[in-house]
Amino acid sequence: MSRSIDEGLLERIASGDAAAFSALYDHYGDLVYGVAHRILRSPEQAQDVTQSIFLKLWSRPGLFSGGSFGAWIARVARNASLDVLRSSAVRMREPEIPQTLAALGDLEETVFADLDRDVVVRAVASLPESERVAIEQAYFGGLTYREVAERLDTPLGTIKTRIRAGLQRLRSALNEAVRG
Amino acid sequence: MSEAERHGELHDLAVLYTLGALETNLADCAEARAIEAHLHECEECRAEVAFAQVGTAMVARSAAEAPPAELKQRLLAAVARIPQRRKRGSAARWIALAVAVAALLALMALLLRV
Ligand SMILES: [Zn+2]
Repeated sequence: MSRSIDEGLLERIASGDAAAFSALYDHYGDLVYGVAHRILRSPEQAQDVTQSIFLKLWSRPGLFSGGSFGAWIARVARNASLDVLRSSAVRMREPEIPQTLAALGDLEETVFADLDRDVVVRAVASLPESERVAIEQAYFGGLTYREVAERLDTPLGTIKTRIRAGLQRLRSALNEAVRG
Repeated sequence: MSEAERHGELHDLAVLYTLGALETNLADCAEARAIEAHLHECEECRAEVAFAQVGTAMVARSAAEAPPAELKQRLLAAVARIPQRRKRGSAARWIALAVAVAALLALMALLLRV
């Protein structure tokens, strides 16, 4: 599966293979740039974040320690972008993915490697508005669920329920997409 | 807190944790640490995390967007300039740096004593 391709790519990158680096960028540049752009709303800042993440991967491919590479790098992109948004220095955190979580990562990789982006965009767009807004404010706005509740002037319990229901819907959308 | 109460509380937060909606700095977030510890033992909470991971992946992927082409050119040019930091080479550099720092400190100690 594509996950093993990525591991192969990272090994080649570790040995200084620029073509492997280029291939990795071709696979994940859209994801990193897209997440950064969505969070920062500035193409220039999104490019800076993308560049710093990929350069860091070039010099330290071992930062990735297993699980879904797509999920990992999306998380790195989100954290780095939120750091910029809060105007702290751009830095690459060592994402703390506990083993139990990383081990669950098979289906996540399907989302990044096998699904058509349009299918994913449609699935998110077809969520009930209230669920989508709560999820996107948390993920792209970098808000905690408490902050989302305050912003939307909605009870905490309701926000929790909406986020959970929306993510569950997206999980089902994956099933449907894979079944084709 | 009983085990059941603990599960009830963390079960409620597992999805938010996965989406990154607890605190941004997870390392400082007591809720996140409690969840991680609990996940090792609780199948039911792991199932929460598992679907939330897929949902979160979908949200992230939905934002994917082609970056400007010149970004790739810039990156590849930068990569050509940056030599790979190989493990052995880097260890050697650290040792050299440590020796240099030690020498500098010794020199400063000498100078300060005078
Ligand atoms: Zn539990």
